Amino acid sequence: MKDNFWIKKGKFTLQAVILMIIIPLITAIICICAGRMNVPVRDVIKAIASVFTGEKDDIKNYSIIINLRLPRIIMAVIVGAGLTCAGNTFQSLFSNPLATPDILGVTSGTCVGAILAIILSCGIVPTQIIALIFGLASVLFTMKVAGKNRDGSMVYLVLAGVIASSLFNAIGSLLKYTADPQDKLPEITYWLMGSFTGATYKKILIGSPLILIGIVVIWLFRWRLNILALSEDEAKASGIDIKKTRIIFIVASTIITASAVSMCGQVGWIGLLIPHCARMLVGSNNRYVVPLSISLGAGFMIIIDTLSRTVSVIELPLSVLTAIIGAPVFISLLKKNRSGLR
Amino acid sequence: MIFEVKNGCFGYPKQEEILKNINLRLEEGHILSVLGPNGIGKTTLLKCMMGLLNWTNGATYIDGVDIKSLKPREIWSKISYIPQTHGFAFSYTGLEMVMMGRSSHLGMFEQPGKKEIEMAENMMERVGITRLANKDCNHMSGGELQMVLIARALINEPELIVLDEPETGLDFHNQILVLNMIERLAHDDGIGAIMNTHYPTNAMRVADEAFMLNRRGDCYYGAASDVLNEKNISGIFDVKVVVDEIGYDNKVIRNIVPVSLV
Repeated sequence: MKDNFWIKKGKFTLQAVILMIIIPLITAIICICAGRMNVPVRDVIKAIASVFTGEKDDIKNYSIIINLRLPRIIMAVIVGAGLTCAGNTFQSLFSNPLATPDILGVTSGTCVGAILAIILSCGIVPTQIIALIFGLASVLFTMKVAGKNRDGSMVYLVLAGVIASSLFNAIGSLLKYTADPQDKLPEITYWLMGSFTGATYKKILIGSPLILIGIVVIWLFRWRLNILALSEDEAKASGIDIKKTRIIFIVASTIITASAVSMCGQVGWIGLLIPHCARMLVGSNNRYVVPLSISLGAGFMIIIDTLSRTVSVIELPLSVLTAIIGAPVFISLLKKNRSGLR
Repeated sequence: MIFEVKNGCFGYPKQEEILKNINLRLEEGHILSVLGPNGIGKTTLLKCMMGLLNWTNGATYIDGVDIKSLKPREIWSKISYIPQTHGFAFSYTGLEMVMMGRSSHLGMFEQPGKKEIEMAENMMERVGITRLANKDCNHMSGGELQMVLIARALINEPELIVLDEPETGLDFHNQILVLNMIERLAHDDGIGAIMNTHYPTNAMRVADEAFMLNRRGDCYYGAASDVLNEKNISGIFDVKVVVDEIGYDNKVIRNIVPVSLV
């Protein structure tokens, strides 16, 4: 990318770094105030400060901010950053701007695992593990069906993803069909639509380490995504061990997807939308795309979650909102970038 | 570096063998050009030579060592490969593309930094494409992209460059630009080159050796000036050719013109 607001001489500019930190922070502060009960910023800060000082002068505010909204926002930041990272990684990995865990059937696969875990009444860690195993199985399935991508055409891969998705969705439906309609079925159904309702600090502590590990791994290796995104032969001829590097990225992004799905259900679109936005700002070099999309993804997820709990009396599912907001934005992106896609 | 292929054979799985008993030897700073009709397996030959495809029989040796026993990093820090040009799924700028050529020299967690940017800028200046540093690779013309890819290959500091039809689809100016570049690299800097080409005239212009494949499975291999003759070329492409000699600038330029089908 040529020098612009974001990048100068192969590095992020100071204002870009500040902006990337500020975006999720400001969104978080604004969104923590909003809700059924609006809390002014001053009281929010007081409530957060009281965690450290131990003086709880307003029990009601304290409980809203610290026990309800803050864990949701933290979870949204982690999940948003993670899913964006995973989406971007899949796009480079398969040299295909349409590849995301949702489109390649990985999300459906992890969902089957998670449904199974709900039926078996597993805790969050076993759920993550079962979801991860199903997620990895579905990546392998999609890659096998797509076969070797010789001409770099994206059609086979996306088709294989469609096949994997519908297969795993069918298995998921079958599992739901056998689930207890009084108890398990509604739980599965609501959870599949995606929500941060049940966010607690305990859940975050248990669920997020895997997502954070995935993000760190992708971050450290992010420059290599550029090479994997070249044609097969060029990637091989770069001298890096592409087999090993690919496995690292596939496992890292599948871990993220599986953990996110087991924490908050299915949240679509974000992995496609945010990396594309980031690329419009800083070009395709993953060295810049990864950090920027982590920041944007976290901010976007906070906004989506806040909308989900504020726009109507009942809480709206996340996947409904991401699709309603994501589809039109994505259409306009496609129109602008038509020449960039093959 | 001495690059050798001994007894190389290759066929795609469940298909007939297309390359039989290939034997080649390339000395430092020499240019080998590979000629043959469409679909005969020229690209396959290049890929087998570099280990991108596995020979079904025979082997490739770098300085006498079988490349199968070398790590990818060891092979690709000596050889740079420029495949036929095409679009990229994600659009990188010229500078970013050139920098990717350093990957075989970078450690596991390393990213190109200030040093690599400087190297890439110097290399682009040397190749004469400084103006392309910020241009999007998917928006470049064929000639521009080829020069960027050559810069990407050179920044690797290779001992051998393998080019797949580097001048195909380029106009006269760019053809000469690319060919002169290859010639200068080989004969001045000692970087060997292996190139596929469809143009015997171009092969004759730069190559020291030529390797020709035909549909009957035989090949002609030897000094370019011996192998690239009327009889061989017409036998390989099934066309009648005339070889014309033009004197220019105290040099004899041999031009090969196809005139009719056989």
